[in-house]
Amino acid sequence: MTLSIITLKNSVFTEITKQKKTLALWGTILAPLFVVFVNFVIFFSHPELLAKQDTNPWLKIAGNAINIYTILMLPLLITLVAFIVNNVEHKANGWKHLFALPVSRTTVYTSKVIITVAMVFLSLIIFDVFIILSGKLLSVLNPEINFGNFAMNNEIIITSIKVFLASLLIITIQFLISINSKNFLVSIGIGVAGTIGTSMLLSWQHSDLIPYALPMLASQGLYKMDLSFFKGVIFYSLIGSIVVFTAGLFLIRNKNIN
Amino acid sequence: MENYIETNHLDFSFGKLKVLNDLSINVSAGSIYGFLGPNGAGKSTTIRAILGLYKTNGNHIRVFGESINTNRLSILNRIGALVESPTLYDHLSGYDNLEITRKLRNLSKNRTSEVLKIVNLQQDAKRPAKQYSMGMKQRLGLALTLLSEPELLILDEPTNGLDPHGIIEIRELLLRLKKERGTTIFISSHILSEIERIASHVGIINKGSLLFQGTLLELREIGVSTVYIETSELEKGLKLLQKNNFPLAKLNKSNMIEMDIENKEEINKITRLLVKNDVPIFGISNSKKDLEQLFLDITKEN
Repeated sequence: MTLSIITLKNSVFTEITKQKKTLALWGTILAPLFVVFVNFVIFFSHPELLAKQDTNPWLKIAGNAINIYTILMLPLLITLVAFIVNNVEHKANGWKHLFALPVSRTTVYTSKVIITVAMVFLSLIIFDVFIILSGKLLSVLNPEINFGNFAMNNEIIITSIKVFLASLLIITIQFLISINSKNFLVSIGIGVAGTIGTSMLLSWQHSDLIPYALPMLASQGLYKMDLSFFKGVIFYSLIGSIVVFTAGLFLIRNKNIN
Repeated sequence: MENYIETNHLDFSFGKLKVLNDLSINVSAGSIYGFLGPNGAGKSTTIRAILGLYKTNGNHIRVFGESINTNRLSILNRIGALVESPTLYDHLSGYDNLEITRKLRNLSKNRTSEVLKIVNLQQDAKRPAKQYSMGMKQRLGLALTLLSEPELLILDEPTNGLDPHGIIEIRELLLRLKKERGTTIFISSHILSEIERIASHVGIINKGSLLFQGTLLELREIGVSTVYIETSELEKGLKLLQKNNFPLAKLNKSNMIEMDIENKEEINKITRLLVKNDVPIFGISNSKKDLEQLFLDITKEN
């Protein structure tokens, strides 16, 4: 059997050790913090944007931050994390060492994908926590904003889980690129081009075909208070990520390792 | 004796470029096998193929008697390998670097401090690897291979870039492993003098083909050496020899007959021939080409 649970667990732990003190871990904390902070500054300095009666201020606070996060920051963070998780081996000439250990290539590959996915998930949890805290802080600092009895914690959390599922396709794509190319410009370049290109194409009628647009599209239910998971974008992301994951696995299992 | 590594008519190509050609090497259990060849001869390719890093077809490679293509993981479990420069995560401490491999191999926790002791890095274990000198990095790389107490060590140019002191340290460590644990060691190098000091067996490769394989003694035996003969009958002796299988015999500047021979048996033939024909021999000596010269000759001819 090529994938034993114990070796997979050990392998994932070693990946965590390798990420100590790397930019990837900081990125997962700082990326959501940055977006939420800027978002907070906007609404703190312009409380009138939120001051309308009868509208839920959370919708604007969370919606605005989620928009920016899903359109720009999240795809860029995924690009960075996928690059660093693989570059740690490219830089250390680690592949030849790892693949000469009695651990299957499937295990190594899977644990690296797991750690990448986990960091993206972690960044979304941090994002949720920061968003909720920033809203609470606004309500204390600006009593004139009508928070009333409005609360959206559940909606924010459910939306970010949908965003997470919708980002799996980008994760596997960026991972596939980064594991096969040592070149910083290739993996980061494609990620940045994909992200910026997508942000320009959002109004295109077929934008739901672009993998980099899926997290933003999955987050739109927030406005409609539509929290169901059974959406085309999420299916597309899930099935697409399984296909790309399998393709990457096939490539790495059959590759000559230098 | 059991063969730990066996390649059987191994060919390997990158696209159309053939890098290994009908390579058959045998590394017997308990030996220190020096795998020699100039840079680009195919040493690293061979090692990568043996470890399954390069994909080969069929069962041309057997380690511990099993095919690498069918039993890769169980084979790798018994091997410690250092392929070219050691894999070190620069931002992590020497200790953490070892821990990563220890966890992946599922070994007991005390192994990390044990190997640190073997390679004498306990003092520096907590420092990040990027602060290590070349020699320390190489020793840490070696420690990685020793974690699992392997039966077979495969080391690709482990002394590359080390100063003489570092080279001696590694050499002594390897000899100690062989002596104390009976570890079989397969070590590649492009420097013969380095291998000469530790190896029991030698394989010489050039342009992807094996040119010699045998014990170090056998290598010395095959070496061409030069015989010098002192005699009062120079002309007669010379003609006699030239007519009898030594066409290249010649007179040298110090008035001796000089000729190259392939093996020691020929010295016997020469003396018999001369004595039988009443050529007096006042002195006979033979100078061996040193191994370095031999190695250069073998790899140049090809």
